[in-house]
Amino acid sequence: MIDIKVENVSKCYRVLSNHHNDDPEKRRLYRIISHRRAFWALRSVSFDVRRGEALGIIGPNGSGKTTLVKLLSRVTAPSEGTITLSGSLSALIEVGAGFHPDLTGRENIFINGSILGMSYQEISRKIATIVEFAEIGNFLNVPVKKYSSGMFVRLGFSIAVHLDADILLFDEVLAVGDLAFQARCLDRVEELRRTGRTIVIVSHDLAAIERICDRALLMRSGELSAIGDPHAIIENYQTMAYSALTESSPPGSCRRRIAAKALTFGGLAEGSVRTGDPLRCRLAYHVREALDHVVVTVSFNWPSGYLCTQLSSSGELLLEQGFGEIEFYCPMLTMQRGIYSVDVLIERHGEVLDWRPRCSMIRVTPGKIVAGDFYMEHTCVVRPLTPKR
Amino acid sequence: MDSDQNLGGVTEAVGYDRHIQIIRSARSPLEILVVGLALLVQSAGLLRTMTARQFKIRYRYSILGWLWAVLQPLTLMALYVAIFSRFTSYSAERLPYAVFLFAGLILWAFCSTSITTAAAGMLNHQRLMATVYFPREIVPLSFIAASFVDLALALILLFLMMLYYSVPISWTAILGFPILMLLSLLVAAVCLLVSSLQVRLRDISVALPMLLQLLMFTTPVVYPASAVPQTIVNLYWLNPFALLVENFRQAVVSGTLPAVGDLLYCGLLAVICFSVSYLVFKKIEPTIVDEL
Repeated sequence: MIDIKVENVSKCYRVLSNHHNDDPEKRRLYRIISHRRAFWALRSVSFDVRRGEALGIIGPNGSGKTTLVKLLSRVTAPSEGTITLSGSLSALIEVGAGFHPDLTGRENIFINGSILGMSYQEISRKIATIVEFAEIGNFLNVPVKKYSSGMFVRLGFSIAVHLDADILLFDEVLAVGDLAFQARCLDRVEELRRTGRTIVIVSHDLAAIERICDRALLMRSGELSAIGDPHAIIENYQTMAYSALTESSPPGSCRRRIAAKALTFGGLAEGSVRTGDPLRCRLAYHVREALDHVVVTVSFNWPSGYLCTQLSSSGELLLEQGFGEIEFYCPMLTMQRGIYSVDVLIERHGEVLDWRPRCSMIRVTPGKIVAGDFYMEHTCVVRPLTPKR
Repeated sequence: MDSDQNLGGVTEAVGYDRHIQIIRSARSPLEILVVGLALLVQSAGLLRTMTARQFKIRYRYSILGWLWAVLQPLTLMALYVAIFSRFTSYSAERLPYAVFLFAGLILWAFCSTSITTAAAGMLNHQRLMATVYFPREIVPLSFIAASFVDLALALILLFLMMLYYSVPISWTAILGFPILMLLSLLVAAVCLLVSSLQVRLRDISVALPMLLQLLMFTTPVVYPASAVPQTIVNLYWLNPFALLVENFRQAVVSGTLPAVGDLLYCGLLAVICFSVSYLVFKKIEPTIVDEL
């Protein structure tokens, strides 16, 4: 059964043509009579969400994710196309958007709840659970302007996850509160899913999307780029993000004494890198004049940008003039599946000879799979303890 | 048949328990009017909550609280009594000037507060409207309802004043209620129109105080209707606000029956104005968020 059916939906915003003066004073009258330039935030997007399914929407900033959510939640209407919803829908686009700072937590729960579509009786019934989930305890009768920012967002989120809607929409709101609260949010979303709710999540937290969603949808400059298995779509997105990074990296200066030319990876077969297989990493270089005491480091970074692991030429290398290749060999790759960006650093006595941040990327495909961040080589034996007679 | 109508949505009968909403862009005016009002009735709970919110926010942290609802017209009354009782030819009327003035003043305060707060409210609720969908007319309507609560409090004061000045309270005072309903409908029409224009033309909020002042002096609030020059009297009574204020005062304070013709004219005008304003509002509603 289809709960959300989006057919050829487009959204066009009218923006003032910028060939005129941007001074707001001067364009006062012009505002009324001007023909405005059309900006298409979404173009012919079509997809379905089945009942009880969780769909994750990912994509770079400005790709139309939020516009899509606003159309689904009826905040604004599509310029073209139709959206068919089966059942009630509640959207959480911004946490605590309807909160008034001067009103107490309790008053705001009632106002926010009824704006989000709950009846007075329903809120009265749920208020205890909402307060408990938000952990605001004895601050319930205090104006929300006295709340810490954490309490504020926890309360907003708590109201939203206690809605009884058939379809729930979350836009970039899962990453609120501290780590413990985030974990409970994810648990709550999974609980909602188990009760058969249809869920749509927009997030930059790819790990959360991968954990919760059955399918993911990748948006790219207002168009639907891909939809399908979250793993595949996230990798697709990461490839897209890194290719953009590589293009934007500044080209190295030609006056260098040494230049990294190309970085290639290979496992058992050329171009295929799998967890658990050996890994060969080759760095092609060009040296203008012979160099000694050279240290080469290849760093692998998580999508988040944090360093995952490094390869380093532990001994100092002696490089002859001309072209050459440095090969790193790992007997077994323990990094998990995913896309990692790669930095290359060439140093000599602490002096940086060449530094290529995010110059390449490596796609690790699943081999020996165990959940977690990395694979650990292991064996397992059984030693029965013979019971004493 | 389960019925639900949303922003650009049309409802269709379905075989199973869930209703289907279709979100798209084009609709006919009659459809907008009928289904829009149906959804508004369904959202009565939200309107009530929002009204309570506007009322609470207005007087929160003021020491006198909702007493301000009666203090404001009372102060104005004292001022006008001090000024006008000396200079006008009011003495001809048989009502004490204070009672005469207060009955008109509280109606005018209701109109002016509703219109100014509703116009500002659209901008104040910008963030809320950008994040959640609800029938947008609830915002201006909740401000009208909140002002109506003020009016109700002021009415109590009016009756106390009538007791003090020993003005007899006649059964015709009950007729004040339908007159207030007509006035509210008319005010709602103005508020909806102002709110929808406000989205594109911020000039409205600047011009409003002036226009309201104009409205006050073309309505028999501070002066008796008998003071209107004979040459413009026909034009003067075309103003539905003037008719409603005059008839309200007659019914509640003077104890005379209101003119049925006047009320029919006002009622018809109010319904037409409200329908037109509501349509205009609903027409821009789907993209209000984009424009604000």
